[in-house]
Amino acid sequence: MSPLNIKGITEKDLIEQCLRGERSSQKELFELYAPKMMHVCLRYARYNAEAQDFMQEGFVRVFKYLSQYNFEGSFEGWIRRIMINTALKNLKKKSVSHEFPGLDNYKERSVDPTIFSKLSEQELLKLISELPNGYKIVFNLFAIEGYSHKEIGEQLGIGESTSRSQLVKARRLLQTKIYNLKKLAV
Amino acid sequence: MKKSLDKAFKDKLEHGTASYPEDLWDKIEAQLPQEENAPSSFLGNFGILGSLLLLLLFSFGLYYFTKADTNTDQSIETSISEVQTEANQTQNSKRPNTRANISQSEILSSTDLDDKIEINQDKGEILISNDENQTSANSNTVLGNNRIIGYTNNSTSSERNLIPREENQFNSSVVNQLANVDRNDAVQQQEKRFTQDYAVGSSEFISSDGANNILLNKGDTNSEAAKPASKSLAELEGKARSVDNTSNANAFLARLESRKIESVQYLKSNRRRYNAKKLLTECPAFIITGGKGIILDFYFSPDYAMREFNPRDIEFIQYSAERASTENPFLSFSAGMRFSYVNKSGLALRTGINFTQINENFQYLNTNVTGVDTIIKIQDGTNVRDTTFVEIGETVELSTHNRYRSVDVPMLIGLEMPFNRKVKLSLNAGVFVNLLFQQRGRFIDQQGHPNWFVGQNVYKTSLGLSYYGSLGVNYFINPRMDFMLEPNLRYYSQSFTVNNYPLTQEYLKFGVLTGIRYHF
Repeated sequence: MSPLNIKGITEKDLIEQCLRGERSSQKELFELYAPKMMHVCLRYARYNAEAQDFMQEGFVRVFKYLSQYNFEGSFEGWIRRIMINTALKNLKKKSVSHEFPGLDNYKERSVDPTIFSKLSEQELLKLISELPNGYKIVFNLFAIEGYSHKEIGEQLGIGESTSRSQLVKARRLLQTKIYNLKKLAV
Repeated sequence: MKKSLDKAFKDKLEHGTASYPEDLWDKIEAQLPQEENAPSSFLGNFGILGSLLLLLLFSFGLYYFTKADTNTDQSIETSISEVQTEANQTQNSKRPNTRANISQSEILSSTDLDDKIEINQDKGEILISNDENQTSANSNTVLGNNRIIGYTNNSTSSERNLIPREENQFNSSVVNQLANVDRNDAVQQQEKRFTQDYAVGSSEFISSDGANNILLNKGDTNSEAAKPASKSLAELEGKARSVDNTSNANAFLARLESRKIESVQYLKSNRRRYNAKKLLTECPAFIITGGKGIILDFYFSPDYAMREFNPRDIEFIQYSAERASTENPFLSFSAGMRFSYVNKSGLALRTGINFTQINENFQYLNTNVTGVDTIIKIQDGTNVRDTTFVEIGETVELSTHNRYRSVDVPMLIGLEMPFNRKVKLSLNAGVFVNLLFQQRGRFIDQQGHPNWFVGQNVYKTSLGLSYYGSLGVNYFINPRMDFMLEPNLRYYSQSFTVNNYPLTQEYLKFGVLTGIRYHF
C-alpha cells in the first residue's frame, strides 16, 4: 500500500476514513481513482453515457463493499475489478452478444509491429471502441487486464474455446483497422 | 505480431485516464447511505438496543437476587454459630445468669392475634412483637396461641384472607417458601413445643409471683410494671436476668434459651434463598404470586410487524421501493400456550407452541388492464342490428389481504421477580424455532405485474430462528391464576424471501401479550 495524495495521507488512512463514513474522504477517494476508472469503463462501454453509468454503479459498489477489502494487494486493482465486473454484468443484462459470426471474414493483415508503438492512446482507445462488443470484451480482459481464457469463460459464461476464437477475431480486426489506418496515413 | 499488438494496447491503455462528468460524484453520493458505519437497517438498531436493554435488566435481576441470597445465608450462619456457642456455654455452666449475653436477643410474647413476626438477619434475632396494651388476664391464653417464626394465627384481616395456595394454618410468606419440607409435621411440632415451653415458662414465672417478687424486690411500685404479663418477654427476660438464682427466673430463662436455639436451627434447616426479612416485612406477596412449580400460560397478543425490504443488488432498488409502497403492514397477532418451570430462585424455563399471523394490505393501481366493451346496436327496438367489441384501457385497483403465518416453538429463559404483594415482574429472552411458515397474498413480481405468491418461489418454507425478548407483568387473581401482560419484541433473524430472490424481507415485531397464567 503506497502513501499517496497531496495531503500526505496514506491510502490506508483514506480507506479507513471512508469506512467511518466520512463523506469528504469518500469524495477524495472517488476523485483519486475516477479518471483511471473512467478510462476502464470507456473500454467496455458502447458509448460514453454507458461508461458513466458503469462508473456510477461501480463506485456505489466500492463504498458499499469497502469493508470487505482486506488491505492485501493493490487497492486500485480491487476497484478496477469491481468496475469491470459491473460493466460485464450490465452488458450481460442487456444481452450483449459475445459472438459476431458475420465478422469472421476478416483476413489477417501483415502490419509492421513498430507501428503499434506509434499509435497514440486515443487512437488505440478508438480502435477498441470500434470493435464489436464480444471481441472488445474478450480483448480487453485478455490483452489489457491479463485474464486467462478460463477466467474469461467463467466471467462471461462462455467456453474457453469461444474466448480464444473471439480473441483471434478481435486481433484480426484490429490489425485490419491499423492496416487501413496506416494506408490512409500513407 | 500477436504479442506486440497486445503489448502495445496494454502499455498505453492499462493506466490510461479519462475525464468524467463533474456531477458524477453527486449522483454517487445520492446513492450512498447517510452514515456508513451505522447499522445498515432499522432492524439492526432495534435489535441491538433491545438486546442491550434485556441484558441490562437480566443482569440487574441476577445481581439483586444473588446479593440478597448471600446476605441471608451469611447472617443465618452467623446467628446459628453464635447461638450454638451460647448454648454450649449455658449447658456447661448450668447457671442461666452466667451465660454470655445474647446481644439484644428479644423474644417478645404477643398478646394480640395480629402478631408481628420478624427475623433480624443482621443480629441473628428473632422478634415477635406484641401489643403492649394487653392485660395480664388474657396473657396466658395469648401465649398459648403464639406462633414461632413464620406462623401467625388465623387472622381475620381481609388481606390475609387473600393469601392463596397455602395450608390453612400457615400464612407467613417464609413458611410458604420453605421448599422440600414437610410443613405439616415440622412446623406443627415446632409450634406445639414452643407454645408449651413458652407458656409453661411464662406462667410459672408469672404465676409464682416471681415477676412480682422481682419487681417488688427492686422496689418498683409502678402499677404498670407490677403487671408483668403485660410486658414483653424481653422485659421479663431483663427482669429475670437481674435477679440472681431465682429458681423461677432461671427456669424461664433456660426455656427461653432453648427456644432460641431451636428457632434458629429450624430456620437453618428450612433456609431459603431469599431475603427473609425483606420478604416478610416489605414484600410478603412475593411468594403469594408464584414460586417454584409448573405454570401454564394461554395468551393472545395483538402485534405490529415492522417490515423492511432491502435489495440484494443495487439494480433492485427500484423494485424494492415498488414492493414497499404497495404492501402496507397493519395489525397482526399471535396466540399460543406455553409451559413454564420456575425454580425457587425465580428462574423460569418456558416452552410451548405459538401461532403468529403477520397481516399486510396489498394495494395496486393497475393501469395496464385492457377491457373489452361490447356495443350492441338495436334496430326497431328489439332486433340486434350489430355487435361490436371495442378494446379500451382500464384502471383497476387491486386490494388483497396478505398473510404470513408461522407456527413456532418458543424456547425461553426467564427471571421472575416480585414487585408488590399483587404483582410480579418477569424478564424473558430466548428464541422461537419455526416449524411451519405459509404465505398467502399478492405482490408485484420482478416484471412489474401484480401476481399471487403461489408458485412464484419467493418465500421460504421455514424461517429458522427468531429472537424474543419481553418484560412481563403478572397480576394475582386467585390462588391458581394470574393475569399476564407481556410487552414483547421479536426479531426474525432470516429474510422471509428465498436467497435467490432479489430482495430481502425482514421483520421486527412488537406485541403486547395478554393472557391467563395457571399455577399447578
